[in-house]
Amino acid sequence: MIKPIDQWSRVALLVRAGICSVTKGISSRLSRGGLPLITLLTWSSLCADDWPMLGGRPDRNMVSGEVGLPAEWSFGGKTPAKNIKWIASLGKVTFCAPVISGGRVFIGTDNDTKDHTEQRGVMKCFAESDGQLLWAVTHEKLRNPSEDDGTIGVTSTPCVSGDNVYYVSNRAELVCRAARDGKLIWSIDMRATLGVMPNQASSSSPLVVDGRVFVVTGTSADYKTGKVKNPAAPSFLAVDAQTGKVLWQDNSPGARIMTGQWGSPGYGVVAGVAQVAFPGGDGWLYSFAPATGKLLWKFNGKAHEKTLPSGEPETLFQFLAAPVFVGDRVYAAIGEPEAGSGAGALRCLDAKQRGDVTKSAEIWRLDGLDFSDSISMPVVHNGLVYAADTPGYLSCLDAVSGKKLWSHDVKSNIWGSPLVADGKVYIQSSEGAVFVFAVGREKKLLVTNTQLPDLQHGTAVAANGVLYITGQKQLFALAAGK
Amino acid sequence: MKFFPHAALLILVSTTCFVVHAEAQEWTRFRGPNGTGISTAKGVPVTWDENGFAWRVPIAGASHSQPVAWGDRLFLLTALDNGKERAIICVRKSDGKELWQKSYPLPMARPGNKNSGYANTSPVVDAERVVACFVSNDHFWVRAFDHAGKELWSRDLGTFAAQHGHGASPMIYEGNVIVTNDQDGASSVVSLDARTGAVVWKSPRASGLNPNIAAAYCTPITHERADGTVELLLTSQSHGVSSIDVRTGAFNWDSPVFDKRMVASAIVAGDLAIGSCGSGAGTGNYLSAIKLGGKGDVGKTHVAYTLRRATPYVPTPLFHEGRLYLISDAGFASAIEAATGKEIWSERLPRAEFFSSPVLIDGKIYCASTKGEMIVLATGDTFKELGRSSLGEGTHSTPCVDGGRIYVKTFTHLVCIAEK
Repeated sequence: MIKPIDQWSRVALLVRAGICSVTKGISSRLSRGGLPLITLLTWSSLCADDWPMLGGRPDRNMVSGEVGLPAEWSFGGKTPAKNIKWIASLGKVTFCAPVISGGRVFIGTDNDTKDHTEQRGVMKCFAESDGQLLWAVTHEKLRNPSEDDGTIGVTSTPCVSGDNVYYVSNRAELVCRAARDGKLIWSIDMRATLGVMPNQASSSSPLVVDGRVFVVTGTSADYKTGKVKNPAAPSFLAVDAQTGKVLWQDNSPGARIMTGQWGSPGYGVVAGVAQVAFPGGDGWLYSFAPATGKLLWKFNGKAHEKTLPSGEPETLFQFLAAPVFVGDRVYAAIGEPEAGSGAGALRCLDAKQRGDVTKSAEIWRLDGLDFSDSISMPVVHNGLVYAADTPGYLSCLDAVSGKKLWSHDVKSNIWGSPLVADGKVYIQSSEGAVFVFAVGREKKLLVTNTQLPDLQHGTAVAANGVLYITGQKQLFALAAGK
Repeated sequence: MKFFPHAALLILVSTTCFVVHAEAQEWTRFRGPNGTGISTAKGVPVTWDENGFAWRVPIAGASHSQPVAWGDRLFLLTALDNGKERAIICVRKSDGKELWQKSYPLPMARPGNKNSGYANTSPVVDAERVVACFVSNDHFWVRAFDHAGKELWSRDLGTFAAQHGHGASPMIYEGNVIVTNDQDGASSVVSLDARTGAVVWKSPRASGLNPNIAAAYCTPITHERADGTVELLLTSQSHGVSSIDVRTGAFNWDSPVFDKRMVASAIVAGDLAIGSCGSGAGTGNYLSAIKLGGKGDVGKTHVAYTLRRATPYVPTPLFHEGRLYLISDAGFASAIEAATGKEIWSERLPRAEFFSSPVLIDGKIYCASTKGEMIVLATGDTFKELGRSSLGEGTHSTPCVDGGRIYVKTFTHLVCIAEK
C-alpha cells in the first residue's frame, strides 16, 4: 500500500576544475500514496534502507535510520583491516557520492588510472553485497574544456527510481538507464535539444518523484564574455521518467546567471502542497508545483549582500547545494568555490509563503564571521542543524533560533555534506579525514579517521547497515565487525 | 643566491648613469634572487595602517604580474581592454609615476578560469634590457625592450594551448633568456640570445598522457651540480620536477610522479628539489621532495618524501634555515623540517586564501592574500602571526622586494610599502 518508489541517494559534488567545483545533495523517500513526509521519515528511521539518491531522500535531509555503523576503521599499514566490508575501484577523480538501491551501488567517476586513453566520464554499478563491478558505461568528453573540464568525469550523483537509474553525463545529457545492466533507455542531450551551455561541469543530481525527473540543466554564462549567450535555454527541467519527454521547463535565471549552474533540486510536501525547489545561477531559490511547473515562491539568496559601485554583485555566491526540506521549512546556504571564500549565509526559510518571499520568508540567517560560503547541504535532526562551510568549519545550530551552539575546525576545505546516522555526525574533509561527532548540543568529537587513501571531497552515506566513504580512486564499504 | 652571473655585470651596473647600489638589483625576476623568494632587506614594515602606503597608483587594465626592479624603475605587465591588448608598463620607484608603456593587440578567448587573467607573468630585467612574454592561443611573443621602452627584438614561439592561460615568467642566465613553453600542445624549453632573440637551444618536452594538465606555470631556477655544471630546475606534470642543462638544454633527469597540474615553481631545499601539484578544487594536492643529483627518470629512486596535508597548488614554498614554509591556496600555513618532511606546525590563517607566493624578508614570511591583506608570520619552530595589514585590494601577484621596500601589484593598483 505504501510502496516507496523513490529511494534514497546521496550527494553530488560538482567540481569545477582548473578549478573545478563540486556540489552535493541528498535525498529522501516518499510514497506514491502521498502520505505526509514525516510519517515516512519516522518509518524509515526504524528500518535498514536503501539510499537511492543525493541526500538519501527527495527532501535531501541527510539523516539515515541505519544503526550499528562503525565510528572508526582501519585499512592497510601495520594495523589489521578493521570494519572494511569491501573496496571497489573508481577512476582517478570522483566527486559524487554513491547511491544504493536494489542490491546495487551506483557512482559517477572517470576512467581508471591505468587507462591511458583519453579522459572520459564513467558511471559504475557494483554489487552491494561484495563490491564486484556489475557494469560500467562511458561518456566521451566534450571537446571544449570550458563546457566539460578536461580533468573530471561524471560528477552528477545518480538517482535510482524503480528499475532505472538517472544521472547527468559530463556531456550535459540527462540519461536514463536500466539499473540492472546499464542499458540505455533514453537520453536528452540538453545542449543539442534545449540550447543549454554548460560551464566546466554538468553536475546536477536528478530527483525522481511521482514519475517525474527534476534536474538543473546547467546552462551558464559564456566563458569568453561572462554573458549568458542563450537566456532562453531552460535552467530547470521536469521530464517524464518513463519516456524522457519534457513535461515543463523554466528559464527564470535567464540572462542573470552569474557564472554557471551546478546545483540540484530538493522536494518537500509543505502544508499538504508538494513543491520542488531549484537553486538558480542568479542566486535565487525557485520553488515550483511539481506537476505543472507553476512558480510557488522565489527567494533572493543575495539579498543581504551589497551591490558594488560597478553594479556587480558583492560575491558570485549562489545556492549550489540542494535545498533541504524539513517540515514547513527549507534550509540552504550559498557559496561557489571558484569565487573564493568569504562571508556566506545559511538560511532557514518558511516554505509556506507564495510569490517573491525575499523580504518575508527568512526565519533566521547565520552569516558574516559566523558562517562562510558553503556548498554543503545542511542536515536537520532532533532540533539541531549541522552545517559545513567551504573553509572547513562544521557548525551545530539550534534549528528554531539559528543560534550557533558549537563548531569545529577540520583544518581543510569541506565540499561534502554531513551525515547524521546512528547517533553520530559524519563529515569528510578535503584532505581525507572523516570526523565523527556524537549528535547533540555539546561538541563531542568521537574519532578522527585518517586511514583511508585518496579521500578528498566526499560525503559519507549509509544504507542497509553499511557506511560508504568515497575516495577519489576507491569506494569503501564499511561495516562493524567486518 | 647569486644575483649576478658575471662579475662583469657588477662593473657594468656600477658604471651606468644611474648609480645604484648592488643590493637594489635584488628583484629582477619572478620571486627575486634565483626564484628563492628571499630578500635580505632590513627595516621593511611588518604592519601599516590604511594610510601607510608610501604610494598607491592605479594601473590600467588588470593583471597578476609581479613587478621586477632595476635602478629607479619597476616593470610589470597588464592586460587592457579585457585582454584584447597586452602592455608592459614602466613606473618610477620613487612615486609610482608611469614612465612609459608599450602595448600590443593580442586578442584571445577568456581563459577557462576567472582567477587567471591575460597578464599573469612577470618580466625579467638586467642592466640592458627587460624581456617579457605576451601570449595568446595564437601567439607566444617574447619581446625585449631597453629600459626606456624601445623594443629591441621580438620572437614568436608559436601557438599556445592551455585551459587556464599562460603563467610562466622568463628568466635570464648568462646573457640568454630562458622561456618555458610547457603547454597542452607541443612543448619545449627555449633559450634565446638576450641581445638578438635568436634561438640558442630548444629542448623538447613531453606533453604527457593527459593534455588537460600538461600546461605548466613554473618559472625555472638554476642550481649548480656536483660536477660544476649548472642545471635548470623546472616543474610540469609530464616531467615532474626536472633538470636540463642551462647552457645546452640537454636533459639531465626528471621525476614524473605528479599526477596533477603543476603550477608552483621548483625550489631547492638543501639537497632536495621541491615540487607540488594539485587542482583548483583542492583535490589531491601533494608535494614531493626529489633528491638532486640523479640521472634519467628518478621517479622510483629519488623521491625523499611526499606531503599531502595543507600543501599549496599555486603558491611556491619558501626554504629558510632548514625549514620549508608552505602557504596553501586554502589559507593554511605550515612549517616543515625540510630534510625529513616532518611537520613542525600547521595553522589556519583565518579569512585568507592565496594565489600569491610568499616572500621572506629579514626572517619573516610575507603572505599577500586574495582578499587584500598582507599577513606576516614569524619563521622558526613556533607559529606566530606578527601582523595583518591592508593592501587596499585583493591580489594574486607575488610581492617584489627592493631597496627595503615592498611593491605589490593588486588587481588594479600598484602599492609601495616602506618604512616611514
